[in-house]
Amino acid sequence: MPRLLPYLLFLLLAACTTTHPVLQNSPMVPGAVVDTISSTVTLSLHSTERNLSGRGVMVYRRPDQLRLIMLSPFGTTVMEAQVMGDRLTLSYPASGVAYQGRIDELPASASGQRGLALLRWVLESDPPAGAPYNGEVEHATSRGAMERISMRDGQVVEKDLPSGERVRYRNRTVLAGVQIPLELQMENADGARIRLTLEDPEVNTPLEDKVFSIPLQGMRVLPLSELKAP
Amino acid sequence: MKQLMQMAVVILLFLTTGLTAEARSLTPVEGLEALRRSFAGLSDFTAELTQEKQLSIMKKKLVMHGMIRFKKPDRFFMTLSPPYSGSVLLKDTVLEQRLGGQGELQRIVLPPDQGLAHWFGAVARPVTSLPPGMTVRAEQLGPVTNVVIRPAKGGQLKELAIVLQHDGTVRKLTIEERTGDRTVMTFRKIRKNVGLTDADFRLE
Repeated sequence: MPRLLPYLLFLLLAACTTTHPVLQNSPMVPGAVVDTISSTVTLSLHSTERNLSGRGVMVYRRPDQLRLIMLSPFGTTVMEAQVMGDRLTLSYPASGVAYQGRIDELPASASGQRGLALLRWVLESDPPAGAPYNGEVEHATSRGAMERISMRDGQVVEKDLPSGERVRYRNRTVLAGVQIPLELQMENADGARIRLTLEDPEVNTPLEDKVFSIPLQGMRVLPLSELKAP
Repeated sequence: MKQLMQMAVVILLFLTTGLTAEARSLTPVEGLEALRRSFAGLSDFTAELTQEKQLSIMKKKLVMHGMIRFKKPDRFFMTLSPPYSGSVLLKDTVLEQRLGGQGELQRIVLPPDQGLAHWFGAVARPVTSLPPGMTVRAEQLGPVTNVVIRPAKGGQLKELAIVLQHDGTVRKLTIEERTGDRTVMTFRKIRKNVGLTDADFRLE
């Protein structure tokens, strides 16, 4: 028993350190990155105008394809968002209206939707080449902006853009050989906060092109600049 | 939000219907009127719920289990169990929602004309004709009655299909959207007029 005490003390002290635990559901594969994600999600939005939350489904494919469906408590679709490169489509089936355009055409009043448009950048959470194990590094995003990345224990824990957007990554796990954060906390330049939680993610499973297409038959499609935040 | 209220009213009507499984076809107006009459004799109810969502975006079904409660004139409560836990409480025009066991409470105040009492006041009036564009089919197959409602074209919902048991309680409600996405709700252990109180309508 006395020999066990130092071991138990070590375990207790180890649990008190500030490392960021990673839940190992599968062994990590060196060099593997997130190519696709398919997951049910919960999403909450806090802005100066409103606080909203809901459950939905999200698919993502590197580098720039994303589709998010938010559901009502009764399972019907409340809202869909699709990001393809620099283009954003927002669909509201209950009102029969959709909005399409470049992300930078979003009106300034649509702070929540601006947050959604950040999702593509947010989901790029793999460490860039040459990133330190601990510390900060600057890195050019796929759209050319210089982001500042904070690393801890070899993981990306936070990213900032000069325009004021920030994302924090929490609750990492390992799926299909890659690390993935299960909670993403975003904040845009307007102060709107979005928290996205992946509930049951599948990583790097093949996704067909059609799952990234929003059905717009019968919808009135308006320019994104005319969006009135519902 | 208006759509959410309409959905809540439709589900409550179907859950509380007193349709009997007579061996004849019902006309559309008879079908809707029978739903309304049965609701008139109700003060509250509870039921267990299984909700299966088949989305074109996902290969697997999203399956949720939970429970709902309703009390006249304006109380509705639904809670879902893990892993998709969450709760919704509606007190007339005040909708509260909490996602996850410890999620933040979200509160939305609806306009008066979208409150639960307003909707049930509207459906309490006798049905004399179908709303424009709506079609209703009802058929009885042995102890089971199938009712299919197609709202006017142009909306989000393509079809609502209800399977009723011989005692008038609903066994299954299927909601098909124009996108092809489909939600199937199966209800069990439906209990009517059990004396629910305001204490049964709280978000913990």
